[in-house]
This record gives sequence, C-alpha cells and structure tokens, in this order.
Amino acid sequence: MGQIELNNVDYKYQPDTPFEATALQAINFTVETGSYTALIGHTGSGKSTLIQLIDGLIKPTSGEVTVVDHHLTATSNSKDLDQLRKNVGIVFQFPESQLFEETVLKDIAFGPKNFGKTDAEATAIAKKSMALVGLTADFAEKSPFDLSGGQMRRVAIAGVLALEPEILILDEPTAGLDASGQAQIMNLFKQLNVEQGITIILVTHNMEDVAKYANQVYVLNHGAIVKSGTPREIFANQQWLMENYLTVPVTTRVAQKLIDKGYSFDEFPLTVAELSQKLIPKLKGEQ
Amino acid sequence: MFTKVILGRYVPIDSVIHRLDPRSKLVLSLYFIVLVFFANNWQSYAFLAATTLATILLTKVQLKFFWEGIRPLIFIIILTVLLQIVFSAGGTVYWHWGIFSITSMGLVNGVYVFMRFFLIICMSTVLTLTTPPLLIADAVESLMKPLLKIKVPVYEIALMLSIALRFIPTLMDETQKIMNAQRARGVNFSSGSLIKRVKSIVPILIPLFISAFNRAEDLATAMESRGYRGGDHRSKFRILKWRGADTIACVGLAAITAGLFLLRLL
Repeated sequence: MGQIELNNVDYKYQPDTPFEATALQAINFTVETGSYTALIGHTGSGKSTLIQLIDGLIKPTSGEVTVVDHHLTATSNSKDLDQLRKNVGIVFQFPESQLFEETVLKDIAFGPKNFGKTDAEATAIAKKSMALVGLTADFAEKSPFDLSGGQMRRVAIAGVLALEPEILILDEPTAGLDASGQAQIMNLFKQLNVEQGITIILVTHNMEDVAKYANQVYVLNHGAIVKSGTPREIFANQQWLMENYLTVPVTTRVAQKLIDKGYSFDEFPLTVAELSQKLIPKLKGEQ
Repeated sequence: MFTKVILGRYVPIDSVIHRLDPRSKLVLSLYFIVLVFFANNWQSYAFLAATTLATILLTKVQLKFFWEGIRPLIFIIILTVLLQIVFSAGGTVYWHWGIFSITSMGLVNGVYVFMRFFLIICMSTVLTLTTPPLLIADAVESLMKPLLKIKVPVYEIALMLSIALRFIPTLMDETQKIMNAQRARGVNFSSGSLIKRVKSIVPILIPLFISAFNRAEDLATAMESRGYRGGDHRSKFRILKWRGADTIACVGLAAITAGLFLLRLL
C-alpha cells in the first residue's frame, strides 16, 4: 500500500451533458512514501487531470483515490477534499499567476494561515520558505509584482512549500526559466526529497529531468497509463517512446548510437555522469 | 464551475440554419422576439410554437441543448408566471384570499407569459447555438455601418467586440486555473460565512485583473508590430455573403408574420 493510491479511477469532464469528455480511464497508480515519481505523456494525455485528482480538486467519476489516510470516491463530500489538501502541495504551471498579496512575505504566509496557523507561526514559516528558495530577507516587504519573472516563480514556489506538504506535486515547475534557474529549482526539489523525505510527483516534458531525478516513471497516453517502471526501463526502449510521441534524453541517444557502433554497456546509462563514468575506462582500455 | 453554462455556446455541425448569413439570423431572431409580443390568442401562440419547433428541428442540434439553455432561467420563468397567475383579475374567480386570487384570465395570462419566455429563449438559443461568436460580431459590425455617418466608431467597436468574445474562454480557463491554485493553498470557496466567502474572491480577482492587463498590453504590442494602425482603411478577411437561403428565410418570416396577423383576427 503506497502513500498515494488510485484504484481503477475514471474521470469524465461534464458528465451527462452534451460536452462530455473522458479524460482518464481505468487508472491504477501507486506512489510510495518518499519516492520521486515522474509523469510523462504528450499534451492532452491526462496528466493535469490526474494531479488534480490527487489534490482533491476534482472527484473521480468512478474508482477510489487514496492519499495518505483520506479516501475519495465519486460520492465523497467536499469536507473530505479540504482535509486531503492539507497533505498535498501543488506547484502549478506558471505558478506566478497565483500571487496577489501586497508583500512577498504576506503572499507566502497566505497558505499556512488558511490551514489554521497563527499569524506569527505563518510568518516564521514564510521566512523559512523564502530562505529555502533562495530569496534574501530584503524581498520580504517588496510587492510581488515588482519582481522579475524568475523571482516571482520563486515566491510562488515558496508559497507552496510554506504549506509544509508531505506530498509535493510539480507541474512543469521550470517552464520558461533560464538554464541556471531551472537547475537551481530542480536541485532544491531533489534536496527536499532526499533530506526531508517529501514525496514528489513531477509532471514534465523534459526527459533529462526525468532521467536525472526520478526513481519511478508513469507514461500516460490518451487518458490511460500505458507503461510504468524505473527511468532505465522506460528509456531502454527508444523505439517504443518515439511511437508514443515522446523523446529520450540526449545522453541515452548518444549511448544508443554508441551501441549501434559496437560498444556495449552492462547497464544502460541515463545521465551525463553515468555515461562518462562508463566511457572513461573503455577509452583508457582501448589505448 | 462554468461548465454548466450553455448560453452563448456554439455547436459546430452542418445544417441549413448554420449556413445562413449571420446578419439575417441576427435580424430575424430579433424580429421574432418582437413578433412574439403580437400573439394574443391560443391559435397564434400555437402557430409561433410550431414555427419555433420547425426552426429547432432545422438546426439539427439535439433538443437536450435547448433544454440546457432554458434550465438556468427556469426560476425566473416560474416566478413570473406565478405572479401573473396570482395577481391577474378578470373572468371566473376560482380562489380568493386578500389581494391574491386565481381567475380564469390569470391562468390564461400565466400560460401566455410562459409561452413568451419559452419562445424567446428558444429562438435566441437557436442564434447562439448555430453561429460562432466571431460571426455574430461581424454581423453586428455590418449592421452598424450606417452609424458611421453619425461618427460612431463602428470599426473600433467591432474590434473590441471580437477581442472580448475571443478572450471569454481564455479568461474562464485562467479563472479556473487561479481558483485551483488558491484552493490548493487552502482557500475555501464553498463554505464559511458570507463575508468570508466574499473575501475569498480577492485571491482570484487580483491575479485575474493583472493577467488581463498584461494580456492586453502584449496583444496591443503584437497588433502594432503586425501593422495595425486603427480601424479605417483595413480589408476584411471574413466576408459575409447573402445567399438564396437568406432571402428564403426572410420571405418565410414575412409569411409567418402574415399568418400571425390573420390568426389575431380570429
């Protein structure tokens, strides 16, 4: 039994209206406590619907969603959903569009206050979150609308981290950021995963990130889970990924080319570090 | 939240009505609304109901859609009909209490009011279900052209209308997205006191305003960089074409008008 469990879940948008559309079908999905799960699939495959189900923003049309010790079915009332949200934090795509308070500190403290923290507690948590995402104390009293896009993104992420969630869902958290910003933010999430044991679910189109950070991958296609496994298992079959409109990390592509030329690896390399580690002894041996 | 709203939605299928010129559809549906108020007896209402039903069938849109269009207004309809029944005097009195009374005239008036609502809603739903919003905007522009003579900025109004219509779905998506983000941060839109609920709108409204203004600025820059300099002296890509079917529709409605006035004499 994992921390998050979806049992035969279906989700339909606007059921019983002329505009009914099935978004998810017969989803079985398990996430273990402290794991780092990546959700991949091309646009419109149901990734966003799935993460909304996990946070109780929508109810399943049929089947059961279990998050920590909350169970959600089609007939659950909205009180149960509110309870569930305490455990889960979501960083939505372009989360800077959720900022609204007069100061950065107030905006970050907004979430904890909603979940019952006192003003003093919320402010303390907000300061901690600011430090986590790399915002110095002089940002605290600034208006979030005077900041740059990257800084706003950090404020928004700090606002989610301030909820102190056990489960953190990231929907393309680095979209539109520059290269160094992307690396910083992704490393922060990995650090939270390793040091504080926060369970992470990452929705992404960036296969390099999947290879580098995730330890479990689910592939969605047309509202159904078509494959799951470790990144190594998923990326080993490049042909299959291409057929499902997905790409593979550059490293694995290089490795595949080397295999085609006659090299062989005992274990398929995923990241640049792994590939170079395996190549160096081979190159030395050949000399 | 907005998924239940069907008013103003377009259903893209192909039918005789879908192919009509949006100008004729707009004018004819407005004309029909006026016409409904000329009906004054059972026969004329039955006649108009039959023509409405015929039009609905011609659109090939499922009847379910029209029902969805009426449903949100059902409370207003019932309230008006009830007031009409209870407060109308005349004819045989069936029930009487203080200022309230149910009379034969009151019942008849109630049915008439109900029919008026029903027919008008159905016909306007025909217009919106069969015409894409942008074409309605084009039709409005075309029909307003004579106002250019009295210096009404018709082209600017038409552009505003097109942009506004284009951004309704975008802003709705945006609202839903922001609501989800704030709900994930613990805002509760559906419980608590009235004041608390009103306060919970702030975290939606402020981001929404900001994103709308940002979008407007970006759009304006993009339009200027593509050579937009104002309404006049621009060509039109979507050209409205008056076809035989439009003339037939107008003749048809003229015949219906004639029929209605004949029935009034009965």
